[in-house]
Amino acid sequence: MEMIVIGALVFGVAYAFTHRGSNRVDNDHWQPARPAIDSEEHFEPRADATGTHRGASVQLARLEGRQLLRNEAFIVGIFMSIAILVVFGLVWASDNIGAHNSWRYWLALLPVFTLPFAGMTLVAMNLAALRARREGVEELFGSLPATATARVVGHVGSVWMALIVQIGFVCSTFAIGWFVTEHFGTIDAASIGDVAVSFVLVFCAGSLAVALARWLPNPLGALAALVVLAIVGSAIGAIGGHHWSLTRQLSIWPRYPDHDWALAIRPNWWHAAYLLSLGLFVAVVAVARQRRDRMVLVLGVGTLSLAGLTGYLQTRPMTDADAERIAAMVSDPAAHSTCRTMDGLSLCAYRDYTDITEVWARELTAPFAAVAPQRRVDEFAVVWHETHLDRLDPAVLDQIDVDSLGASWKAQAATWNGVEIDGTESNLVNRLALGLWSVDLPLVPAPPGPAGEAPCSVGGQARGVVALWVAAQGMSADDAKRFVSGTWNGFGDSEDGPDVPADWIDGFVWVGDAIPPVLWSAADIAAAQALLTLDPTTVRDSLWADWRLWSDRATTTDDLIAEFGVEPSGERAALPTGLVPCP
Amino acid sequence: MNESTTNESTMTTAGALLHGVSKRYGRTVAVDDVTLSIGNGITGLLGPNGAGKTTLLRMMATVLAPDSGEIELLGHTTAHAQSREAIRRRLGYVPQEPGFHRQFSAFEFVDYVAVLKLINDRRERHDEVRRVLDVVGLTSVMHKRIRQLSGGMRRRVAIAQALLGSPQLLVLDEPTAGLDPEQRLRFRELLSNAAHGATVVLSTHQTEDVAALCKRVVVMHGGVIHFDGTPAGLAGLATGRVWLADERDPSAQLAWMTGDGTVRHVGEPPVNARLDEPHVEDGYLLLVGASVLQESSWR
Repeated sequence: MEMIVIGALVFGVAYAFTHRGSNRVDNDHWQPARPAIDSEEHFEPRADATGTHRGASVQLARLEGRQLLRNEAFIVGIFMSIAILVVFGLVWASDNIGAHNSWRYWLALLPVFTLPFAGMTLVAMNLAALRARREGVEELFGSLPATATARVVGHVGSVWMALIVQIGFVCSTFAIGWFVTEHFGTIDAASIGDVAVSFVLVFCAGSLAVALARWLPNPLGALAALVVLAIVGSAIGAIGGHHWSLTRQLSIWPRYPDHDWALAIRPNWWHAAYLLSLGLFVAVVAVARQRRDRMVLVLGVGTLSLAGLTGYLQTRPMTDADAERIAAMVSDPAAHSTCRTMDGLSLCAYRDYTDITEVWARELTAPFAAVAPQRRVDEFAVVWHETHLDRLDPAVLDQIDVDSLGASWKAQAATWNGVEIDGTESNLVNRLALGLWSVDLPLVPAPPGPAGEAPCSVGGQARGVVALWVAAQGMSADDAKRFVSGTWNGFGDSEDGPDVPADWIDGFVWVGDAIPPVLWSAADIAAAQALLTLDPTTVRDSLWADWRLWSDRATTTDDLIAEFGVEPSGERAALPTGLVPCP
Repeated sequence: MNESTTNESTMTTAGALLHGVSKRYGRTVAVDDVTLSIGNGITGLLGPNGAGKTTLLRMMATVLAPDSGEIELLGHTTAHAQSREAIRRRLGYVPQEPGFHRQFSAFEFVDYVAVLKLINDRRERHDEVRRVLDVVGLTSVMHKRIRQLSGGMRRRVAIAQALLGSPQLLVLDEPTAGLDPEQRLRFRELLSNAAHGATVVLSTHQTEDVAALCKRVVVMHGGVIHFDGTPAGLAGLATGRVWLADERDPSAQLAWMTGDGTVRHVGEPPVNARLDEPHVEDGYLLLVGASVLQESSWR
């Protein structure tokens, strides 16, 4: 409902903008006040019709491009771009300082973000190309020397205005990435390819708009084309689901694999060339409505062949060398990472993402400083690695023993916190992992049993409360309360929570779509929140005085409450069936 | 020999040559085997609705191909694309129902037409657009959107675009429709100036315009030419057949009361009538009026 209201408002503003100044001019006289038309000067032409068709196309493109700014659909498209930047760039992304906020991910969204604008450009340019027909000017234009081909080329050329707007959109996207959402990682060639694809999509929308106007001269044609493109594009782009499929590349917006794209070969430049070839072919098809000669035939065959060739090239499997390189990165991430070490804290990320360790360090400094010195002697490491091994390209999977690799990582889990890149809040995950590590709680779920992986319950254990207190250090009071209550984005008892029995989730679910290693009871959460209201130095000194006691599984939450004199509330639920106390 | 020489001369100097031109719409013959040679100056084309005038003009504007016959304009045949382009570069056309890009300003629309007229240089084109808008007296409103302009102003925009580049062949299909009397007078002034050295074909229902402007008049009816001569010659058809009487003759085919109370009769003399000077419209009415009235059941 809100979207409909917002859409209506945007359209209303666009309509008012494009129809401003609608007072009719009175039918005045033929300016009788000025001298009669008897001067020869009036009949001396200032210009002759001696130009070229190419020149006419250029000038027409210029004029039509400027007219686009008066088109309601085009203006709505611009508003859509702005809305996308506000929603995804400012509101949504600013709350997500997660691993998915790499430049690689952000720029890969650019073509998707461009789709609404490209769609509205298609509608706007289609209306422009149909204008002469709609307003009964075709007969007059038919008496003018510019050919239909020149007019078609001019209309296609008017897409320059949309490309200018797209430049603004891309620049805004970069600016938000740099100044607002702190994107990290390198901007590689594939990411620049994503930017190129976004421009090509806009061009393709323009050429398709004109072709539709020529072959299907009805504005509904553009809308029908949008629906067909959305359905077909989505269907092809989603082939394979979470698993990598090269066939997706043939879609307008291929969905890239659900894993770290440092571990993928994304043929974006071939994809851009493929789309550009298709766009050019469609432009030739537009011209072919009126002109069918050898040149049009050659151009049509040429662009179609190019589309076929680039379409084929973008769906080729990765080379053996690439597969080996990526398999090595997956198997031994530490060997392919750059690490930042800070007095027992080691932060490692693939070399493409080195700058994320600065963000991690900023977040983890305070929690790590809250851990007792005797515990800090053992190093805590954060190592970026891929957890969705089954989603990797088959060529890479062929070179990896997934089972043994997974087991190896589980064994290292006590000190080695892998960072997922599927939307998880890496900063919060790291904080929580550090808290769990500080009191010897497990960082990964228990090994699979009959019911699959299972978290353990830390309900009633003081160390669970300490873990939460450590993890929340350095946060503002409000953030800490939200964090500990599990209601932060990606946490808590969300609808997307793990597939575990409902009565297990009476505490704290810490990763949206994964099995958590630990669950708290509501009483523990309340105790942690109460502890966070006290002076941190006082709490820290008390905990450090006997860290071994507060890390012991036998020390209860009630002992902790008594020690600090807080009065927490919260239900002390019985241990749900199937959950075991944390060892 | 002399006639041959005359024809040869006509072939080389005429702005428009039509030879055996016909056009059908289904079973209806809109233009039937018309042969016509039109030279410089203003030629009026008169005829009732459905006479075939617009079809003839559309063929002369190169937007409609004849079913048979040949059309040669400004020395180029309309049969080939290349020669059509050469014609169009020197052609100005006002369609009977000119459409407009209503969201455009008058300047933008005429500029758009100028672009399609292959006036590539932007500065020169803008100068030319301003010139033609000045000629039709729209300078003060040229940046208003066309949808804000009155019908008369829009008609002047249509005339302005036809004047771009001072074309050598002007094809005007009822350009004065919708203009008030003063605007029509201005239009006559404009057209008489614009016609210097150019061939102008003017289709109209206004016989006064023809009398005032044209050195030649062609009357079409039923797709064929019924008269081709001077306006005076057309008026001369009614010489001795225009009468003034005090009362209307009930048997008269064409009679109407004038402003001074007398009844003007065209055709057979009523009782106690006196002869009057014939006008162009009298000749036109005698030529086609009776049949038109019969066809349209006006009587």
